[in-house]
Amino acid sequence: MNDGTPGACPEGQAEAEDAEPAAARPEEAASPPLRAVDQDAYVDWDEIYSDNATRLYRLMYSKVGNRSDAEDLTAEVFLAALRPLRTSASRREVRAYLAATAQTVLAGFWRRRLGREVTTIDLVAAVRAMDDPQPSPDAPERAKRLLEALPDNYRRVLELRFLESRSIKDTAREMDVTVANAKVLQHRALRLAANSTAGEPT
Amino acid sequence: MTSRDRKLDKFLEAVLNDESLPQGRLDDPEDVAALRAAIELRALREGADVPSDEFLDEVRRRMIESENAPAPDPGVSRRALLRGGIAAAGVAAAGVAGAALDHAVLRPGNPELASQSELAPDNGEWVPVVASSSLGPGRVHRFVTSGAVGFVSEKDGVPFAVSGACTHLGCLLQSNAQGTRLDCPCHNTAFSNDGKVMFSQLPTSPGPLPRIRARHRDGNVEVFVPRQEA
Repeated sequence: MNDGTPGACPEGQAEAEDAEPAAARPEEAASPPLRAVDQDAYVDWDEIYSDNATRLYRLMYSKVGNRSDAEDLTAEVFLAALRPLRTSASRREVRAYLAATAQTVLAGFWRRRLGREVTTIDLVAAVRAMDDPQPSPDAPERAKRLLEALPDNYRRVLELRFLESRSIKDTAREMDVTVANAKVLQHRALRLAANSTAGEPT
Repeated sequence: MTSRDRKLDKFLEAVLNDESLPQGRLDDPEDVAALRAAIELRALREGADVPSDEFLDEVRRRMIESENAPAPDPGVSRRALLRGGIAAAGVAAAGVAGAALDHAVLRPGNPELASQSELAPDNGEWVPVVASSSLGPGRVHRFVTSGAVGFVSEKDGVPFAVSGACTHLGCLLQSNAQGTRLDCPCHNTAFSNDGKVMFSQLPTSPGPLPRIRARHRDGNVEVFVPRQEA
């Protein structure tokens, strides 16, 4: 033991530490520096794109709910990031950069389109989702929970319309109500679903 | 169907038809939440969020075209470009909070890189954020307005405010328990209460936090931040 004074380290102890077998430091033995570097870097922009395009599109789709806007926003993120971000960045830096760019791009989209942000990107959650090789964003989990909590006819109208993509006429027929009623039911169901998840992060 | 329902319906139809959302307004927070729920439900469909090969190829082609275009400054090293990009992302993320910052101060090689910029929105307003009596030596107060997030403390007896978004990637800073530092939760980086970088794990130190104008008025500390949209 030393005397607690910073920097005071008796000779004998320093030698003892040097002599410590490598096996006693598993964190060093488990990750040879060369392999870590290889895994951490992208070869070129094409690899950055191939590795992240689908992940980013999924993230955007979960925030706008339609293919057209999700495609536009995904393209905007990559084209905005291409010039400033170079491939010498680590994987983590690249994903953090893409997520930050996506956050800004989405916010701009909502402001222009509706004058307010309907959905937002949480940077920490977005980077986590992008790091995960099999992304399972939180939003679908929330949507499942959100349906389960609804009364039967509300749940059914949302299932038919939003999950099974049935027309409003089909939905009305299936539920034995008028088209007008089906629409009202759909709105009420969404508002109730939204209420039941109020306060959860988006 | 009420006019409120019709307004909401326009957006829901777009989501249901997989079409671009129309331009418009949704005033009722309940309707905004309903649209959010609709978006989440659509993303739940099996395979809904898988991009088409055509789209992926198209973006790849546009990126190649864009990369082959002349670079803005061929004299800047790749590493320097990376630094600039990440700094710009910080600015971009701060932009979400409404901060209108000058990108030029963060451009690599700019001698002003280390100097503190001021968050001066074109369309700003003074907003009270804390009672003047709550400020004092060693006290720091976090504030959030509709357009900005920041910290206000006292420096040389006057209120001094800085942006609360890290200049690296825009993560929201947290005041440490002693109130002596603003820590970034993303990477090991900390700023002083007046916005200077205290330490950073990053190979290139991020810029200082933009300053936000602050003053005492009517017993409160006010900050000059982007005006709240109606």
